[in-house]
Amino acid sequence: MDVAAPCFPRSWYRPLHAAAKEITGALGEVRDRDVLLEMLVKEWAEVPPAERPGIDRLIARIERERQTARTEMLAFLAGLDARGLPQEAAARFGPAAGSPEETLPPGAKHSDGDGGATPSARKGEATGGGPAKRVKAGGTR
Amino acid sequence: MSRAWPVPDIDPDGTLEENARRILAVKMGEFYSYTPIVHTEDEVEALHNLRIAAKRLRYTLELFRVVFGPEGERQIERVKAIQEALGQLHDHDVRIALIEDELNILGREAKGGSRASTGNQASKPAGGGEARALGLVSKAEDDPALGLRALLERQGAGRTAHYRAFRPLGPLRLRRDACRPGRTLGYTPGRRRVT
Repeated sequence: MDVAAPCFPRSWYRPLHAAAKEITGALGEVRDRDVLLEMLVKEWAEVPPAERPGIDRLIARIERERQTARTEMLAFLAGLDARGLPQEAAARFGPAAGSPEETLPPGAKHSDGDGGATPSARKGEATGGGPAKRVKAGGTR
Repeated sequence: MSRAWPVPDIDPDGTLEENARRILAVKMGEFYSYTPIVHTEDEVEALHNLRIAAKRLRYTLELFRVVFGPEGERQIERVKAIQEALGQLHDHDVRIALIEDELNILGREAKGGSRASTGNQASKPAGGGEARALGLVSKAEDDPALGLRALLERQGAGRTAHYRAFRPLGPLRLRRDACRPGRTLGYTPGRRRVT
């Protein structure tokens, strides 16, 4: 969208451009922490037990930060709907840029899938234990 | 994050090829402006900005692949390799900063005597065997600093390894005129300096 800016009227392109950047930012805040958590969970499984409390601390911290980022992301995305961004995008760029419900194949449904569980939490559930569960149960901070 | 260099003279009435080449010239100029820092391993911020510039260059090549043809495809692969190597480097920088920050927090907590690895109980008077048996005293093996320091060391070693892998891929290896055989791209390397 950066390079195409001169090709469209600023009056409506600029707000859509800004919204696109905000969306990537909001999603990135959560995604970055998912990646970090995956790495930390892997480390946790590979290190000697004596090193795990330190990694537990980091996992607990990133879990908290992710939860905050996710809450903010959901509020932000809801706000986009409320201010009619999908309709605005569809009106300017065509139906493919509009609401997901209008562009998905019949029967397909958008969802965040796991209701917000983090990779580490999912991993913990699957194996019946692990760093995330320990952190949640023990509360290192 | 560094701001993208503006692309002047985009002409909505021009052809796709004309505009694509204008955009590419700017993206390459931005990318090559980081050449001076490639050989400086601890330029964390500038290497991160180079990664972003590589990303912008790659997306330009991908967006206009119909214009740049097979040579463009080849350059996409090369830029992708640079971008991925720099991504690994950046991931390590983020983790190192995080671990160092957590160690600092831990140090402040220790000074304040507020908490240890056994939670709030650790603030109770430290004593002999009885207290230890009750789990009120943190044992050396429960010290979070141990794992954090070990992790920091591994991340530092990993970063060095990734930097060594990246350096031979650096921007100097990309041919500046690769996407426009026989013609210059219309920018002067080094015209803009990294700030």
